Amino acid sequence: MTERIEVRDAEVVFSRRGVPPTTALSGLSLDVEAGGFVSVVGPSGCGKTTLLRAIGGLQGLTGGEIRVGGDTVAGPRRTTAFMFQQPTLLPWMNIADNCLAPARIHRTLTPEYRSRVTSLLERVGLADFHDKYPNELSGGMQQRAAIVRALGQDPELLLLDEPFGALDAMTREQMNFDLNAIWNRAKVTTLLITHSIPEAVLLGQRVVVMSSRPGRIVDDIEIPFGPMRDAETMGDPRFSQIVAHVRGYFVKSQNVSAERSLAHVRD
Amino acid sequence: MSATEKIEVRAPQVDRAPAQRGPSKVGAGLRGRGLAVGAVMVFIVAWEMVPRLLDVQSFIFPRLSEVIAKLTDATTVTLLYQHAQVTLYEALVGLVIGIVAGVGLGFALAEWEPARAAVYPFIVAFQSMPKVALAPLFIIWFGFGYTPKVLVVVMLVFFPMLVNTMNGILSTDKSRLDLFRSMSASKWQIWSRLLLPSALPSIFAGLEVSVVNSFIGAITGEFVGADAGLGVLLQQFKNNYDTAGVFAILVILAFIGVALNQIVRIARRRLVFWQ
Ligand SMILES: Nc1ncnc2c1ncn2[C@@H]1O[C@H](COP(=O)(O)OP(=O)(O)OP(=O)(O)O)[C@@H](O)[C@H]1O
Ligand SMILES: [Mg+2]
Repeated sequence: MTERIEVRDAEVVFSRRGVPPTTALSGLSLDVEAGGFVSVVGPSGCGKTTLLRAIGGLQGLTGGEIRVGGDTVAGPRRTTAFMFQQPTLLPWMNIADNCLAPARIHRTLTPEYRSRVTSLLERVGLADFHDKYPNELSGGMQQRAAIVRALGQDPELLLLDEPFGALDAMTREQMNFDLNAIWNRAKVTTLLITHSIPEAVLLGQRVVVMSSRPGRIVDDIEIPFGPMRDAETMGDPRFSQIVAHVRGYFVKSQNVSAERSLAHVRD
Repeated sequence: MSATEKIEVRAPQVDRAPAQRGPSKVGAGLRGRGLAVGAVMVFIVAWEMVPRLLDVQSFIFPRLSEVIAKLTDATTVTLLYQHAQVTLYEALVGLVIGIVAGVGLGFALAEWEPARAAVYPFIVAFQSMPKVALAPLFIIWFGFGYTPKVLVVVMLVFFPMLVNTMNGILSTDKSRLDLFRSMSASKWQIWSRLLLPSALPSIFAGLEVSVVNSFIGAITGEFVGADAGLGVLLQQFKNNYDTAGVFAILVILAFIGVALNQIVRIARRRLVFWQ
């Protein structure tokens, strides 16, 4: 069972004594249907990570409500898998153990889990590295191992925070298609944060555009392609139209901080 | 004789090394070892020859052969052995107590913020105080036996262990904590699978300091007041102008220090293999 996400007027204000409070999210509402794939783009520091952490139960709200699968999010859920901006592998475990760690933590390590991880490692080209330690892998390989760890959990909700940012263009494209294939098979509800507009359009059924801080949703674009995406998708004339349309939000913005973050947003 | 022994001892390492590290590093390692062996030989020759050439009197600076004579003389060896046992006992008991207490309290303070806030000023005050200065006080309170020396050792071991354990845990990577929270890990799982391994490098850094400190503590405690131990023997030798005997003790202390340091380093390499 995959789960739908409902975000209602979510507000996150970071306040510490002695410093003026930071409003990271304010009045943000977003729905993702069960099994949907939504990409989120927005300038750096607009609250994308905060939104993802709030949906994953790692960040409490100061206002509003988030429901996943109909239940209000009160904390981390076992059925949610995260992928962070950094690979976040544990250096004292080899790659296989890193990928099996969630099952060991949940005490649900089954032969099926093992074989799922093994085949995922094969798929991302890490089969020969299962007994290597993270510091023996390149940054891109570490990121792929982190993807395996997330997908190995067979989650009902997949939260991806710029998962491919550290990859070279070639590997990144390959990982994009892999992710699309995996999503097509598992149809797990997926939220993808990315700084790459083409990646957002290539993978998402919808692309959500956020404003600079405090993050609000300024556009929510239905992507007119079917669930299967490939190199031809990017050749479609509508693809570049949508990319140009989304890019327009960042070029038009008068906000200085948004201007500064253009470097991130342009691919 | 000794040359053939050396070759026998080294041969397996040379065989094993290329598979792990690649050939260039092996060459560099051998060269480094060659330099070290050379330096030791120069040191040995100099220790024997320089006092002889400068005609320094034996009670000022004994020649190496005189020190070796001490270290092979049966009565002196018995004496050294008995007193070394006492010092070793004080240092090791203090070391174990200090490590257990320091690591334990380090964990507790890292976990519990209010306690950390309350205790921190005291830790800073103690850290900046020369703790061996407590030795006379401990002698007044506990007499001339083992207890005051063990306590001095504990003081010298406890604080580096406490501070390093606490800092190691507190500097755990925040994104890894996020990862564990996202997997709904229990508190115990977070402690045993994340915080402890994260703190290990820092704990071992504390351990290396502590091992050295433990002998400083034991010897100082014995200087202040004791009836047995290498510190006592050292002072007796000094009072008799038996400088070769003093050097013999220094050599033994150096050997014990190197041995303990090696144990810690081997343990570190095994337990913190990823660094
Ligand atoms: N723990 C925190 N305490 C205080 N402020 C925070 C905290 N976490 C995030 N912020 C602030 O909230 C805002 C949004 O941060 P967030 O990490 O969500 O941005 P982002 O959109 O993910 O940026 P990027 O694209 O660079 O990753 C930022 O201004 C940041 O400074
Ligand atoms: Mg972010």
